[in-house]
Amino acid sequence: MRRREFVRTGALAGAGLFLPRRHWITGAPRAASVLVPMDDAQDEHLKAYGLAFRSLDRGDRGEWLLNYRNGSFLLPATDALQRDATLAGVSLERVDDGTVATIRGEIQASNMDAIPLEKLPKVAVYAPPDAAPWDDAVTMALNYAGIQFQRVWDPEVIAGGLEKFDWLHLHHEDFTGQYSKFVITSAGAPWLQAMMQLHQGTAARLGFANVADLKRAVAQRIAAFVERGGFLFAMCTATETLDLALASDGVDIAAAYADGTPMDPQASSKMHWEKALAFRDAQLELSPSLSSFSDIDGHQVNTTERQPLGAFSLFNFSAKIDPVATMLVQNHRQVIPDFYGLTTSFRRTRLKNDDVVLADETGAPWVKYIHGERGKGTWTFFGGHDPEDPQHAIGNAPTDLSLHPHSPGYRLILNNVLFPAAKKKELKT
Amino acid sequence: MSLKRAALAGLALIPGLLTAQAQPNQTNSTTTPLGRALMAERNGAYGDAATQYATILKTQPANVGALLGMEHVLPRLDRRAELVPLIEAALAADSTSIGVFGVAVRAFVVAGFPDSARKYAERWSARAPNDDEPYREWLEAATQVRDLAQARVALDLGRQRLGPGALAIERAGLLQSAGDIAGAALEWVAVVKATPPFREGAVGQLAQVTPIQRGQVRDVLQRDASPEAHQMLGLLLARWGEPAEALAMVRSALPSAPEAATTLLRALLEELRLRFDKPSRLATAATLEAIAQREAGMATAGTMMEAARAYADAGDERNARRVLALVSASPGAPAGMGTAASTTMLQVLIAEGKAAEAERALAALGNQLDPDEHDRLARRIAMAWVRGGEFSRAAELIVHDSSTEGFDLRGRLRLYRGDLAGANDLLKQAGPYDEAREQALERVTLLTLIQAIGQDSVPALGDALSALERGDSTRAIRGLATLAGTLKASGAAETRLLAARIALAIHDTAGSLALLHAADAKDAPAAAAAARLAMARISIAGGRAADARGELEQLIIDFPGSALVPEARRLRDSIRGTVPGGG
Repeated sequence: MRRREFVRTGALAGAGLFLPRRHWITGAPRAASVLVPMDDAQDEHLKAYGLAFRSLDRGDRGEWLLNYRNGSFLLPATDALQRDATLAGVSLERVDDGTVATIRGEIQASNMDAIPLEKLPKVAVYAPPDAAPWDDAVTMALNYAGIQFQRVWDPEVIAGGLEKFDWLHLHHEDFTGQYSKFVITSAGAPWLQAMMQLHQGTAARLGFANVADLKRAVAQRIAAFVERGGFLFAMCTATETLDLALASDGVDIAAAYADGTPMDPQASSKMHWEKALAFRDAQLELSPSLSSFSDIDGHQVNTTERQPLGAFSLFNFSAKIDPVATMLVQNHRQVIPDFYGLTTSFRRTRLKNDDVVLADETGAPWVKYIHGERGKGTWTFFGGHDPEDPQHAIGNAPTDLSLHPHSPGYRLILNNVLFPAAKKKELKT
Repeated sequence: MSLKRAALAGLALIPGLLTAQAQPNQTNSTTTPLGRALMAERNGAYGDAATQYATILKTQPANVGALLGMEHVLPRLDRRAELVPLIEAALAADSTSIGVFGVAVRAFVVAGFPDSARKYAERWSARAPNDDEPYREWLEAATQVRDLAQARVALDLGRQRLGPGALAIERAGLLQSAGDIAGAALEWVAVVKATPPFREGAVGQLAQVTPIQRGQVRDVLQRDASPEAHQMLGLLLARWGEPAEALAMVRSALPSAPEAATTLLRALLEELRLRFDKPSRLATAATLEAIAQREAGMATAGTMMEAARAYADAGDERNARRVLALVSASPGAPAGMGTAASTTMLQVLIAEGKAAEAERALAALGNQLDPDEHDRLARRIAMAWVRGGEFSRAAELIVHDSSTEGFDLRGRLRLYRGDLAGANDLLKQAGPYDEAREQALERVTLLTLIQAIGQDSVPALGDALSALERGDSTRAIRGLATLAGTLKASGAAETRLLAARIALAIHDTAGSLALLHAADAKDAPAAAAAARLAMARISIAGGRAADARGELEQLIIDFPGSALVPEARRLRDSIRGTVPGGG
């Protein structure tokens, strides 16, 4: 089913026109339920997502109550769930059928909706084999919440390995093949040398002339994954460079150290933005030593034009008409402190017209969190590297999520992981 | 910001400041176009500021204040490309302005035009041939955009023009940024040789290398035979936590002039100041003594006193006594120094376990001591009596002490005598807080134990705890284990838990585990949860992560309301590798 249809049918069902007769919708009297509150009553917001995920893994079905107590979950009360919640420290509230009926009434009468959770998504994280688990906010969030995933990298993607997955995450990978443009500024650093060796060896093994070519091919396969109905979630540089790689088909945008030839000085005017997912008309950064790719990023953290961090606000959407966007912004905080990444934000002037802005900084020329469709699938881009390490720098101590169990920034990441678990409500025929 | 840039920025601010002085009730932006533009910039109205700066530049293309303003605001408006034509116009209008050159060099570096940056740095240098500022400006701008290759070109050209000693600090910093640690260390030594007051700054820079790179710095500084290199190494070693080696290195490189030697020793003292381990305290004491030897009059006696205290704090009674004797014999010792010396001597006596002598010394000091200090010393002497088994002498010393610590110690004394009811009252009066968190935790643990046992008098518990206070852990464990067999469930479990902790502290893991298993009793849930957490920690320490995980999960499931559950969850997450610092 195309995402557009999903949105439409979800909205209709939410409006009460096509409620399926399922026990998790009607509240069968024999099965008691538990509510996993996601407002300030919750002790472990992040692990609550893992609890819902593992409940699906055990074959249970549940509901995501959009906008009800900041995106709570209604799950069947089982011994396994109770044990899991106790171990994880997730707060539960037992609710009887009468209470469930009251909740449904409130949902019906408000900007809320109940989205069935019934499909366990197959999750992949794109990361090199030597990546530390602490260097990627999504890997950290998945590990902390206890959500299973598989790691994939260039060989798997080139071999068509994305077919097996519903959801793919990209983090701070540089799809322009320029090693995040640290080659000149960090020349001689052992981590950089190791990174270059690994990438160059992989490109050679897979039959590509250079890393830039390999990464463009990987980007194109990722775009095809989305076209076929996949869910893509990207953060940090992966957002900007994925689009630059897609739009630069036939254009040399890589510095000489990446592909042996200098970047085409006219590259900006030769880009094919129709191939990009989210951005348009960006001016590419010409300097090979400046750790910036283009003017898509509003904050330019590694340049003299670095902009200070502010706070971003989540948008409110109509849960019944626009449940996808609503799912992605479920949170117990509406204003969240910003955080840097090699790509921190997205300039408004560089967004395509049909991009959906999920969060922005009021009055600033940039936005933080965007979403869109491509073919049968969807993509979501979130700027910045680590929501709980706003100044993130190479060598910083890893983030310990047990110290941030209520992190609203990490909640946004986990909304994305659970989003593919939400399935369209079946229509009565 | 370089001095020149700061000066230029200051010039630009002057109109506004003058206005503010003349018209205090009005904003300072209204009298001159530049002032208005500056005020708009300060208020964050960058678009307005840019318009006003542009207006000025139309008639005065080389106005440095307006050009600097544009340099600040255009990037914020995403219009940095507009800066280059403005600079070209400024240079056409005035090809000799140093202010314009500065903006030009920075702007061309940022815009990615290194050749233009170089051209204007060289033109600037031609106007001021003995000034290193043009190259420093270029180098700093290139470093800011992390273009180390360009920064290197700026540096090399600058040194070519001005001589090999020029831009030494910048060269050292650049080498260090590029990862050439050995080269940087050598260059920093050269900087310090040329300008000795830069020594602490150079040490501060070199101290930032990673632990792995420290070896390279050490090798370079050791191989260099100059005293400057060894002085720097001494200070670095102190900062890296090697106080004894630091002291030896500094001593080997002490300048012969007393003033310079004292300056170096005080720098070492500063490095050691925030370290409280025994080797650091000893190094501190020896450094203070060395400083005192280079001082005269009252200052000598004061510094010697500090040295004696530092020796006493480090537990080096022999040297503390030796230095105190020197203070007593010092003709320059000021009034009051005798009290300080006696107090320090008293601490030495306590540390040596000579309670009777210490008590006499305290009595001799009489009213010379501050009451709080008197009580503190009395408590320390009382503990020395306790360790000797003299509970009555100890109690007499602190009978009037109404501080938290006084109640705590009196409560413990009751406990050592087996008087649980009296101990309970006094420990409760001491309350749950203390300056030392550890002391407060110990008190809570003792109160929990007393309440779990639930009897007024248990002499066997007093025997076991006083044995522990005397350092006889084996007797304490045996006594507690035997006692546990005579108590009801919760008292028995808490007593075994305490015995298990003592056993673990003396590395008797098997004995500790046996006691913990015995303490894991259903009808003593608080002790059982603590016992399981302790068992999990032992399993982790033994590399049995799966066992630990099982123990922790059982703890969480069986005792979800226990105060230890959050800690158990954290430990479980560490084992699962879902939070850093596993295990």
